[in-house]
Amino acid sequence: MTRLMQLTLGIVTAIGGFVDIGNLVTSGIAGARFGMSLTWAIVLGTIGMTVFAEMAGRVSAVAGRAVFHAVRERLGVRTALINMVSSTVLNLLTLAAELGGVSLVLQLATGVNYLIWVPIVGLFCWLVVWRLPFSLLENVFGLLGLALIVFVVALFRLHPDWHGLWHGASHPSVAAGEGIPTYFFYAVSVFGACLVPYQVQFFSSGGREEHWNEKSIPDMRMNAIIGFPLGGLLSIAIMAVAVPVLQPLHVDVAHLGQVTLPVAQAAGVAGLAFVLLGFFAATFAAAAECTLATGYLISQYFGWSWGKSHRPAQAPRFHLVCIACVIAATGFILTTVDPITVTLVSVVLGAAAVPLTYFPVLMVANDRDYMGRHVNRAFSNTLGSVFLLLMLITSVATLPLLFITKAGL
Amino acid sequence: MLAGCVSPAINADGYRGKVSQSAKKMVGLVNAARLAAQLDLDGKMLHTITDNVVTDAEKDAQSVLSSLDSVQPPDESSIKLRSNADDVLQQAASQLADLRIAVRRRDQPSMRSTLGDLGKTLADVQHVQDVT
Repeated sequence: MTRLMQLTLGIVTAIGGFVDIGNLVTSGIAGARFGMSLTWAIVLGTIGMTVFAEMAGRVSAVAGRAVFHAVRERLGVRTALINMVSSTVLNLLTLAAELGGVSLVLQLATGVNYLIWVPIVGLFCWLVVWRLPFSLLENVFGLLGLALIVFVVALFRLHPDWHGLWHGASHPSVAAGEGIPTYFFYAVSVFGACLVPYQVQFFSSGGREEHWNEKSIPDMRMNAIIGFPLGGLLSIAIMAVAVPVLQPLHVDVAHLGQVTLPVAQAAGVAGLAFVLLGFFAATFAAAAECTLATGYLISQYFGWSWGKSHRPAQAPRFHLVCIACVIAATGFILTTVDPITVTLVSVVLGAAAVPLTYFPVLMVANDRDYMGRHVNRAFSNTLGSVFLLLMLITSVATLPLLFITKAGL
Repeated sequence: MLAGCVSPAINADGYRGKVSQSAKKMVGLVNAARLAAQLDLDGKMLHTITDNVVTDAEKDAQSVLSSLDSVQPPDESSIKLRSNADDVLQQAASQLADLRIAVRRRDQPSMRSTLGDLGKTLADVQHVQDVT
């Protein structure tokens, strides 16, 4: 039973981190506009995330260092400062998107404008981060987030053309009426949504919170190998249900409500209840993780005492950073900026910034002084290097694609 | 997001393309609203979500219209095209507003009637998209 419980960290990171507002939006858009032809981007993003999460988890368990601890040690204080500032800005943008996403879900459920919900969600997020024990956070939202499996159920109930879906996924091509730059812009968005850096920051720091050691490696590995592919599978399901329902109608997904339509068609009100529960759990867990990840990375950079298990008096600066992040992100969303636009921008900029987080992880995982007998093997290095190269290419291509396509228009 | 989808046209071909793009956007918006309203009538939708989807469609339709209206038609044929397209798109936007009102009042007969109207207008919007 204990082993089963330990797997929950992987599941919550998969649901709350992997399937967050970024995945919900980009998978919905991709399915409605490009059918299954961007499945490869989710598959690649999922494998990349699994590889690097396993590495970061191993570094955390063996070297006793979370990601930003390693970043500062390996890149030096000055270079790591650039990394810390850019990661903080990106995390704040992601947190704003998640808080906006939770508020949009509440708007869908209640009909009350999302702007009314934003400060309430911000306050609730801070309370959860401050008061809820780490294990409860992962268990409650991890289990609730599993409600998103309704997308898989809906896919079967829609009786889609399976051969067509498989053909679309295995023979990627640019849909008629869409430009090649637009196709690759959304490929970057989908890929970036799978690889958002806060997931790895949270995963490795969470490992420190749970006192992982060498004996924890098999469990950690199972968390990464089961949890992240589960998130990837759900992302593919969200994309797939849009193909038979939204694509033939030329619906250009721009709102969260439109993502729910295929489930309503397949499973009615009961299905929608699961969707709203799953959306809420996934986006709220992601908001809490993102808040913690930002507190972790800043505290680790400056060498402050950090950890959710520490009382505010024991780690005051860590807790202050968390509060400040929630206030800043809440204030940003209250400016009435569209949360869906913030989401798209955050995943695209995230795609541009991923090498900053992932490169130091690869470096430390290859350092025998830190890792001893758990140093990277050839298989991990090959995969890690290939994905790092892919991330670098994505990073270089992101901004030109953003401008050429006017953010996917 | 939709506000930036149309920029000033350079020539008649470019203008036709922009009209076509606007019509294509409108087709998607009308279809999303119709699907939500139909599912609601079938008892398969939460009313709050129907309201959200239809309201978003109405707002985006207004955005499509104002974006198209902000483009200067480059010649006489483009002015005629604009007049024709504008009427059809305006009608679609207006019917989306009617649908939103019916949804909020939970007036099922009006919803059915507006869905029928939107179905006819949709054919006209698709015609604008195809012709251009």
